[in-house]
Amino acid sequence: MPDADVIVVGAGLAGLSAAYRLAKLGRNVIVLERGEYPGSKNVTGGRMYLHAIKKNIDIPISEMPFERFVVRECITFLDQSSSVTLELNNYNVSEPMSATVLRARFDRWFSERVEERGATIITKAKVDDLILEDGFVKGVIVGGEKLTSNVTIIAEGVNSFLAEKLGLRKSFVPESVTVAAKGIVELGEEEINKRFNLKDKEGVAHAIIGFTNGVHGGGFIYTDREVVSIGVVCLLKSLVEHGKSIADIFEDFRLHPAVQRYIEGGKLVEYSGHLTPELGYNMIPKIYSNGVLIAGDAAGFFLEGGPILRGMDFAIESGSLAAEAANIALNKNDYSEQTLKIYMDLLNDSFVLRDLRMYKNSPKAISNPRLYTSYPKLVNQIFTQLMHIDGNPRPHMGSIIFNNILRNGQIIYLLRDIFDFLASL
Amino acid sequence: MAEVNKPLKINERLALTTYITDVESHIQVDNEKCKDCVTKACLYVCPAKVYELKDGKIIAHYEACLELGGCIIACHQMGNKGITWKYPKGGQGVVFKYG
Ligand SMILES: Cc1cc2nc3c(=O)[nH]c(=O)nc-3n(C[C@H](O)[C@H](O)[C@H](O)COP(=O)(O)OP(=O)(O)OC[C@H]3O[C@@H](n4cnc5c(N)ncnc54)[C@H](O)[C@@H]3O)c2cc1C
Ligand code: SF4
Repeated sequence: MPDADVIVVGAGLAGLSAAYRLAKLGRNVIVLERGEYPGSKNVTGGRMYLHAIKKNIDIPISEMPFERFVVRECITFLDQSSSVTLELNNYNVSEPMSATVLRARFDRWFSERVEERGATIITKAKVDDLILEDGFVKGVIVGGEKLTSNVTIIAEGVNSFLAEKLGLRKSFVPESVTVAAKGIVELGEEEINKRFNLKDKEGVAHAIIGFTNGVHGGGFIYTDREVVSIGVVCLLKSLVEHGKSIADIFEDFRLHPAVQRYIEGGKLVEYSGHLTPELGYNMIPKIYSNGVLIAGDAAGFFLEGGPILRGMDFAIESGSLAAEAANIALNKNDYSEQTLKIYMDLLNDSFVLRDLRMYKNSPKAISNPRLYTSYPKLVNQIFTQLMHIDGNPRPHMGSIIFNNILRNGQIIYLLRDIFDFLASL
Repeated sequence: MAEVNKPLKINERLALTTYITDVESHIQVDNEKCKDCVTKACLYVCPAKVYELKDGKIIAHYEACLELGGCIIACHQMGNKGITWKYPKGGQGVVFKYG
């Protein structure tokens, strides 16, 4: 008899969602987490799109430790001394679509609910290797000890060294991974409401581009309950090619007047960092094999489409589907690849692979360098000139716009890029 | 805690974050390889500036590591493979309170 029906590596959203489902099905499941507590190693932007957690976890959203519910979406094009912002306000939010979240708090809470359902969670337990016998994964090696299982679910996040060791996944190439630096600024609930013009548990999700001096990347501001999350996300390859440090780009962003106006006077209380996988549908690795399944970031389930970042809803859904596949294998007492392949079928029928397939060209669309340099500048130039009245003759609106676009010879690029964006994102 | 409107040195910023520091480093750097490395990719991808170029040598301040794993990708694919990097032992390293 193995030590567990299922061993889950990693108590992030994917791992916890898998364990929740398996425990509910009455399975004997052990979760191993290398951190001091679940969430202690986990960083997101971020906001969670709530559809997946609503569907998979039978606890009301109002009882979950979300920070704020997003009622305002902003996209800012930043230049040195000006900015242009697009703002969408939802005034009648009966059913919130997304909520801001701090993972050290959220994952810890979630892990307690998973334990209540009957799963065992062991923290400070780093899995060093997988047990391989006769071509089957039969469990894990943790702190020099063997722990055996019928199925192992790898939910260890973006780096996924175990999947790499198994040969299911290759290491990242520099153009398919981004680096993020993030800061937490304490302002207090009242002050945040005042500065961002919010009520109760209302929140803002704000994406910003144009300040990275040509580096492929952008920034974000999310309002949490009593703190504000600010950060930058840049393509690893682009940082090295431009010889710019992600730490310095974070400082430029934090000290930019457009960001300072929100956080001035607050206290910086934490600094963190994380990677995101920008693999795209075509580079998703093989995610099942004899005795093993891969879920969440470890499987490369992440989507960046301009201001939209998605990974948490994919992590929750894929974790839950991995649990379902493992349960089917346990019922059949057959842990072969042929049986576990059902996981792939479940994913294909779900929003996870549907959306990743649908937006498979988004990594290419957002890798367009003009998005980070000339376009934010162009938008700022046009608006600045449109609004400029100083007693001298001001050209007509049409000629301001067309002159700016034509002067830079950008019209052809612009039309093509607009077409590409609309088709990919 | 730190004032939010002043430039911070990297060690000031890291003083904000909680660590349980292992006595043993989870990062090793082979300066024989770094000697011939043109890009010095490690210097740009780390939010904690763990890697420092001092007197022609790369030093790794492992105790500041935020455990992203970006350095090893950068070093092995754009540098000269000088870095050996693994996660710290279970329960050691960075402990985010917010995340
Ligand atoms: C800056 C940033 C902004 C983002 N913004 C958004 C957003 O707005 N919306 C959104 O939906 N997504 C966003 N994402 C993506 C999202 O955060 C991830 O997709 C999601 O956290 C993935 O969850 P996971 O469970 O797969 O991995 P993780 O949350 O990384 O969990 C992996 C777990 O495994 C543990 N672990 C790793 N190795 C081992 C080991 N060997 N042994 C034991 N335990 C191990 C880790 O400690 C961790 O707890 C963002 C990501 C970043 C970096
Ligand atoms: S990138 Fe790697 S090989 Fe190059 S200097 Fe840095 S550690 Fe050395």
